Amino acid sequence: MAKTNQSNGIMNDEQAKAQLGKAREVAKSATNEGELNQLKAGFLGQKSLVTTALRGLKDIPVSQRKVQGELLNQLRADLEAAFLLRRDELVNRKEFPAVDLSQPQLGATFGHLHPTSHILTEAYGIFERLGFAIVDGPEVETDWYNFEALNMPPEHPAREMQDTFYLKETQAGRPLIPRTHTSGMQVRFLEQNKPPIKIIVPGKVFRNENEDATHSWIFTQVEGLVVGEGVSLSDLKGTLAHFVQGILGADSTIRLRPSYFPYTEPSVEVDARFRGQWLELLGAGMIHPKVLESAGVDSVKYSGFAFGVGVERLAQIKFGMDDLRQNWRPNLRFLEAF
Amino acid sequence: MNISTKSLNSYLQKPLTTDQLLEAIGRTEIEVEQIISSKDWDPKIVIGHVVSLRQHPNADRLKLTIVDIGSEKLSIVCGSPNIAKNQKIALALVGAKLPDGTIIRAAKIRGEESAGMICSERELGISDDHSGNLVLDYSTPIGKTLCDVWTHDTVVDIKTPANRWDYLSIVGLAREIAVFSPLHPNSLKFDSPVQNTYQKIINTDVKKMGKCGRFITVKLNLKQSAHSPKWLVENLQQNGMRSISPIVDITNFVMLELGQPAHAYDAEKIHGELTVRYGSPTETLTTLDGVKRELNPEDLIIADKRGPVGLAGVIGGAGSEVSSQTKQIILEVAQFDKTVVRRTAMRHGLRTEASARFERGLPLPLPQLAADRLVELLREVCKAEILEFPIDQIYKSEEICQLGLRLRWAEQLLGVKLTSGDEKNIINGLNQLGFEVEHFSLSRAVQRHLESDDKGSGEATTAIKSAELTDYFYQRIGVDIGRDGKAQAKTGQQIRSDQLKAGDILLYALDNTKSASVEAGLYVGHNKVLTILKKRYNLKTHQYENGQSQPQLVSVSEFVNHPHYIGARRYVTSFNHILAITVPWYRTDIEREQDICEEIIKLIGYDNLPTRLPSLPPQDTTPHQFLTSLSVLKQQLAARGLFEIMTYSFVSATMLETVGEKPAEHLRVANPMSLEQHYLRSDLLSSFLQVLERNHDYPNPFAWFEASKVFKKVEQQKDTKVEESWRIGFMCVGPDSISELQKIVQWLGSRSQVRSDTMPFQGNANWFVVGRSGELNWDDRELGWFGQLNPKILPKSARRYEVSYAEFALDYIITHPALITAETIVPYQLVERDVTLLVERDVKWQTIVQILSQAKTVASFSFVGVYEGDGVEAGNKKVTTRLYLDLGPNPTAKEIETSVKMTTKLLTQHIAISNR
Repeated sequence: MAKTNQSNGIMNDEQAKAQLGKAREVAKSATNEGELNQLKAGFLGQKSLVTTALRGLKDIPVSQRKVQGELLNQLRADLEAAFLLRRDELVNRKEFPAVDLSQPQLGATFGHLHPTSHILTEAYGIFERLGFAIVDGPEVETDWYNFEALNMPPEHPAREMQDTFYLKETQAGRPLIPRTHTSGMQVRFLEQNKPPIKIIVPGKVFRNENEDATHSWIFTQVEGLVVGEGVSLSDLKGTLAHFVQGILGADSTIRLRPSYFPYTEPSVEVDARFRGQWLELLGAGMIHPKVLESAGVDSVKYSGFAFGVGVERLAQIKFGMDDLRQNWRPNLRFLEAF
Repeated sequence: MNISTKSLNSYLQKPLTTDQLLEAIGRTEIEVEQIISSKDWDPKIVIGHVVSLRQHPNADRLKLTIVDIGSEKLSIVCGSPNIAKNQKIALALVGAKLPDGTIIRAAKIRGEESAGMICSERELGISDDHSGNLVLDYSTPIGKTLCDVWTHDTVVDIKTPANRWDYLSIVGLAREIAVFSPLHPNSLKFDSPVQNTYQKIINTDVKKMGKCGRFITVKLNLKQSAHSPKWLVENLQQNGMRSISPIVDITNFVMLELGQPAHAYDAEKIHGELTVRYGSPTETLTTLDGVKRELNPEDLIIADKRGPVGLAGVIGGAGSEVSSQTKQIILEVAQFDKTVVRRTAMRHGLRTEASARFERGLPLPLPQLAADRLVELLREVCKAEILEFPIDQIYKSEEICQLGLRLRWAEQLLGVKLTSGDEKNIINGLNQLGFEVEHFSLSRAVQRHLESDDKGSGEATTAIKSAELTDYFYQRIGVDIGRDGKAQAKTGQQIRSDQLKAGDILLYALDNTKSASVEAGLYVGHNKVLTILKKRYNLKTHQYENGQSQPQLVSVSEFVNHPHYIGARRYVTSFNHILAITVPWYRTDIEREQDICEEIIKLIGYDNLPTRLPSLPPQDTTPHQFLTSLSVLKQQLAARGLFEIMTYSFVSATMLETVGEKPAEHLRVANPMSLEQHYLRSDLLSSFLQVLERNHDYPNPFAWFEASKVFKKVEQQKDTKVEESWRIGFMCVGPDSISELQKIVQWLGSRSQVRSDTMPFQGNANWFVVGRSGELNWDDRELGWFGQLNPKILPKSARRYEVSYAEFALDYIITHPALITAETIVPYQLVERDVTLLVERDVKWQTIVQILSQAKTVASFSFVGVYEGDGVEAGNKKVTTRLYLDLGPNPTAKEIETSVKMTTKLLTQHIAISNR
C-alpha cells in the first residue's frame, strides 16, 4: 500500500517530516544566495517531490484528497519558510545586523502636555459632544462685568470674598480687574448672543491671596453657561454629573449641597465622590434674574444655569498632585509624568 | 465660627448626637470646617488660684504670680496681659505635656523661677485665642485637673454664607437645624424674653442719624457684679469666648444666642445723651483694645456730649468701659448699615465679632428682642433694675416681605414634579422655618380687603391709590405688573370687556391728556370691580364726585363706560397653584420666588432631584474655534517632543529689567501681595528665563512652549486701553538649539501653508546673538520673532548652553489652517536635477526661493545642503538645490539641458558667483 501511494506521489506525515528535516540541513550548507536558490529548486521546483505530489492529488480518491492536500500544502509552506530563513541569515543579517529594540535611544524627545491642558482637552471633548461652544473671554475685566453685572454692587461684601487684584490704570474712570472668575463672560456673551445658549468659557483667573499647596493666586477656571426656555436645576445636575464622570470616571458620583453666591439662586456647592472620598469640587446655580436683566435678557421667559470649576483642582484630584503651585512654577522633571 | 454641640442642643426640643447634627447641617448651606472633639488633657494640667501678682523686676511684660493649687503654692512667671489676682486659671505643672506635644520644664525666666506655665486657650487646643490666659469660673475648685472640671464637649467649626445673618446666632442655627433634623418633629426651644416698654421715637429724618436704622438705649442700676455664674462662663468658653466680667459676658452671650451685638457703657463715664453721627478728622478715640484711633468722616460713631465713645458696630471706647466698680450702665442695642460698619472695620483693620454680625445686615426687629433678653439676664445675674424709661429710636420702617410662589413655575425651574405629598411637606417645612404659607385664593384676598378698616388691619396693604391696590394682588403672587396704572396698561395682554375673568384689571384715564393719571380696578366676577376711587365719575352728570379712600366694590360699568376707558388687561392665565408666602422678619435673605425655590429643594432634598440634560439645540461653534484649535496645536507640539509649561502672568520689575524692558510701559497691579506680581507681562521672555534658571540642570536637549495671553498698555488721552493678545513662546535648550527652533518654526509654517518670510529683527538689540535672529512674516503679516539668545541675558547657571527662543502671535497661526487647498499632481514624471551654486555666505535661502519662484520650467524645488570649508573661499558657501522641472512627458536631453541652463542663468544673474 505504501508503495502504491508513493508511486502516486502521495506521502504520509513521517515522510513529510523527513522531507522538511532534510531541506533544513541542505539549506544550511549553502554559502551564498545563488547556491541556496539552486538547492531550493530541488525541494520546491517543478520536479520536486512536493510539486509532483500536489499535481497527483487529482488522481487519488476524493475521500483522501482533503487530508493529503492539507498535508502537502503545509509541507510546501514549511519548506518555503526554511529557505527564506536561511536567505535572511545569508543576506539581510549582513546588511542589517540585529538591534536591541528595548534599548533606549539617546536624543529622542518625549513631549508632555501640561496637566491643565490634559483636563481642558477632556472637558472640551465632553462639552462639545453635549453641543456646547468653547468661548474665549478677556482676562482683564471692568468691575462692571466682574462684579456689578453679577449682582455685586460696590458695597457688596462678596467682592471681598474673592480677594481682588486691581490695576493702577483705569478705563473711563472705572476700575480694571484681572478677572477673579470667568463669570464676567456670562453677561458679555448674553449681551451679544440670543438664547438658547450653551457655552463654556475656560481661562485664567486671578485672586489676591497667599499661596500654599491648595491655593495659587492664578488658576484656570471653566465657566459653564446655559440659558434658554425651561432650563432647570435638574439640567444643571445632569450636566455636571456627565462632566464629572467624563473627567473622573464613570464610577464617580456627584452630590449637590445648598450654597450662596450673589449671582445664582438657588446656588449649590457640588461635591464629587472619587476613590471613596467626597471632595469639594465646584460652585454652581440657577442664574440670578438680576444677572439676566443686566445682560438685557428677559428673565421671565428665560432661565439658565451657570457653574465655575477650577481646572487645577480637578487635575489635583485626578492625578493626585500634592501642590497646586507646581502648575505655575514649571519643573520639567515633574511635568515628565504627564 | 466655633459652636459647641452642647449649646446648640440646649436650643432644640430633641437634642441630637454629633452625627445627627452633622447630617442635619449637611442639608443646609452651612459648611463644617472641622470637628473639634472633647479634650483629654494631661492630668498635670491643674486648676490654680492666683493668690498674688506683682511686676517682674527685669521684664516689663512679665508678671510674677503665686498660684495656689491646693496642695502647695507655686511661683509662676506669666506673660499673659489679662492675668489678674483671684483668677482661676489652668496651670501646666513641670512635666505636663500640652496638646501640641510641648513638655513643660522648670525654668528661670529673666532670673525668676517658674514652676509651670499658665495656659492660653491656644496652648490647650481649645481655640485659636492666644491673646491671654484661660480664665475659669471663680467657683472652680482648685487642685482638680482641668479634665475634671472642663465640660467635655464637641465643638464644630462652621462656615456660613454671607447672606444669612441668622447663622451667626445659635437660635438661628437651631431653628434651621431643627427642620432638617433626622429626629422629627423637632423644633427650636427658645422662650421669648419678657417685653419691656420703650419710649418710641419715630424719626423720619434718616440723614440726621446717618446709617443707623434703630438705636435702643437702656439705663440700668446693678446691685451685684462680682462674678459670672458657672453656666455663663462655661457657655462662653464652649463657644470659643473668654469670660471677662458679668456685664460683658452677658452681652457676648446674647450676641452668640441671638446674633445681636450690644455694648454696655459705664453710665458714670457718659456725659449727656448718646448720639450716632459721623466722626470728624480732628477727633480721636481710644478703643477697648487700647489703640488710639484717628477718626474718619466716614466712620459712624457713638458720641456723648464730650465726644466719641465708640465706633458704631465695631468696638467700644476705653474711656467708658465697664469695670468691677461699675454701678450703672447704659446698654446700647442698635441696627447699623452693614456697609458702613464693614468699611469702618476695614478702615481701622479691626474685624470684631460685632462687626462681623453687623456686616451681614441685621433686621430691624432684632435690637428690641435682644434688649429684652439682655435686661432679663442682667436682672438674673446682676440684680439689675431699669432706671429710666428705655428709649427706642427708630429711623427706618420695617418691611414685611410677601411673595407668591407659582408651584408650576417652581417645578419648571427646579426640574422636578411635585406630588401632593411633596407640597404638604414643603408647606410644613416652610411653616417650621417661620414662613406663613397658604394657597392663594383671589376671592379670599378680596374679602379681606373689604373687611379692612381705617387702622389698616385686615389685609396688609398700604395701598392708597387704585393702581397700588391692583399691583398689590399681583405682588402677592410674585408678578410685577407695575406700580401705577400707566405701567399696568402696558404689561399683560388686552382683553375684550365681554371676556372678563376674575383677576383681570380694568383701567381708565382721568382725562384725555397725555399726562392724565390712570385708575385701575380688579375684576372680581359678577360684574364687580374692587378699587379705590377717591373721585367717582358720574355717568349721568359726566362729573367727578367725591368717592372714598377705602377699597370698595363698584360696578364694572363704572370702568367700561368711562369716557376715557383704556381697556382690560390679563397678566396670568390662572390663579391656581400659587402659594402666598409671608417671609419671617429674620429671613432677610429671602427676596424673591427663586429664594423660596432654594428652600423647597432643600426640603425635598437635592438627592431627589432628577438628573437631566438641557434640551436645547447645539450652540453654533463657527465663531468659537480658537480654543479647540489651540488644544489641537498643543497636542501636536507635545507629540513633536515639546514640554508644555504654564507660568504666572504677572512679573516683577526686576524680571522685566533683566530683559531690557521698562516696567513703566506695562500695566501695573495696584495691590500686589508681593513684588513678584507687580506688572502684567507683555511678552514671555522674562518668564521663560526664570523657568530656564529653575531647570538648568535638566539634561538637554529639551524644548518647551507656552500659549498665554500678554497685555499691552495703550494710553489714549489720559485713559488706558488694555490690549490682550494670545502669544505662543518656544524655548529650545541644547547644542544647535537654533536649528531645533527652526524646525519648529518651519513646521508651523508648513502646517498653515503660508508664505513665510524672515526679516531682520528690529527689537531689543541685547536679546539675540548677532546674525542669528529674525522676525517672521506670514503672508506679509508680522507674526513675531525668533533667534538664539545672547548668553549675556541668560541666567548664570544656563550660560554654558545654547538657548533659542521664539514668540509669535497665536491668532493667525490658529485661524490659518482653514485655508488648505489641494494641488494637482501632473500624470508624468518631473525631471530631477541638482544644482550647486557658489554664493556669498550671507545670501539667504529665502532669496533663492524668491528667484526660483520666477523660473519658468521649475515646478518646485527643495533644499539639499550647504557646504563651507575646504575648497570654498572664506565668506562664501555652496548651496545645493534640487530642481523639479516640468517639461511635459518624455522631454529630450536637450530640452532638459536648456531648462537647467536657463534656471542657473537666472540664479547667477542675481546672486551666484558661479554654478559648481
